Amino acid sequence: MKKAVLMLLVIALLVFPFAALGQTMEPYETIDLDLSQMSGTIAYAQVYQMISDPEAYVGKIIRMAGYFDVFEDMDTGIVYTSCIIPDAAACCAQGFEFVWAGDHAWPEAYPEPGTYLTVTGRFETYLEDDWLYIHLVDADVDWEAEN
Amino acid sequence: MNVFQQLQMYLAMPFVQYALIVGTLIALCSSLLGVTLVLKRFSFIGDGLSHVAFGAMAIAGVLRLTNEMLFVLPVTVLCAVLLLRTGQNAKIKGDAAIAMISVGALAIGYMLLNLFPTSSNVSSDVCTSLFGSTSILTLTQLEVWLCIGLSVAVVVIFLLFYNKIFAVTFDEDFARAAGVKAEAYNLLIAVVVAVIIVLAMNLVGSLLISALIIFPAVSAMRLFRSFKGVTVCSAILSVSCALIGMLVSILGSTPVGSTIVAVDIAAFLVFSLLARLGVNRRKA
Repeated sequence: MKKAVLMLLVIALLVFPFAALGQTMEPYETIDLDLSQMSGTIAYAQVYQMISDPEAYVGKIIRMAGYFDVFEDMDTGIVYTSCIIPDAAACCAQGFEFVWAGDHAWPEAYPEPGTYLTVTGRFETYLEDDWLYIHLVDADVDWEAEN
Repeated sequence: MNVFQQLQMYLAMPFVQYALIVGTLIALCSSLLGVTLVLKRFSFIGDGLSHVAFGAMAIAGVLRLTNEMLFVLPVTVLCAVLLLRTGQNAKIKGDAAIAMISVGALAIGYMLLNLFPTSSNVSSDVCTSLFGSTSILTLTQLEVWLCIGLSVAVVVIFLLFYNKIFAVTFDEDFARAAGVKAEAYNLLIAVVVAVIIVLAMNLVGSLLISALIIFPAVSAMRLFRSFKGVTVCSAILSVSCALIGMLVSILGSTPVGSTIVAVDIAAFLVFSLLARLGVNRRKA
């Protein structure tokens, strides 16, 4: 009996962290466009379509997997984080800027540039210096930490 | 999600449908004229003109033209005509003229792209132009309609002038003696080849266009002997290879252009093997 209880306890301890992790990774119940499930070639082309015609995708929940990249504007101090998808020939790349939901200290909380990550967020457009930009807001960001 | 479900999802996407339609039409057009070019020993003209198209595309980029094809097409057609005329009566003849125009255009194009970059990533622009990258999956609706219109024009011209093209391809002197205006038809072939090259830049990029023109024709020649048999086989083979290549590329995340050419190479090896195994060359 004691062994059975001990076993259940061990299983519960093992499962609980993953269940909790699952909840933080899945804040969005439905994903409108899951680029992470598409082949690299199609994902690249799909991102190109979204950049070419952003109005058609505003408000949609997008999930994408790609490489983390960052640009820090020295004049304004604003840090722009993005997820980049390279094409199959590896010479071109498309991607989205994302705004991570919650408070996360830069650069401590962020992964190293080049880290492969998954970003889920709402597709929005914004104007800056009369230029139309696109980004994923309220983004959930997930990556595998290096051991 | 299994492969078939994934394929079903991709095929529902408009830009994939556009790519398959345009890719099929380009493959069909390139195979039709490919037979003529191979038989006339003009295989390398395709390569030379594709480099010219690259140079023209660089100039179009520097001039910030919204539709590059409207500039690239006339320039490539002009060079095709010049190449053909130089081949007939000029001091610099044949392969030397092609090589000069080819590398000259490539060098000027690359230099212009570096001097007047249209984006922050010059290597990406060059790579896209040379190897096609995913150009075929990023066509605008205008480009799709332009490709369809030009492809239909190429097929109609080929069918209308099939007998004359056949005559000029096999024996130009005899054709001339029989009253066929060989020079005019050579000019027509050059113009049509230039159109095909500009179209095919979207599919495989300028460095790989020759493969699209030559491989299906040479493969078909392994098994068939008549002009009609080779042309029909070449067209079917080219379209099949392009479709298989595009599907493999979108499912396997490989570059579109080089995957299509790899499938063309595989088809050539299979046809060569069949020919060696004694599958008779038929007059179809």
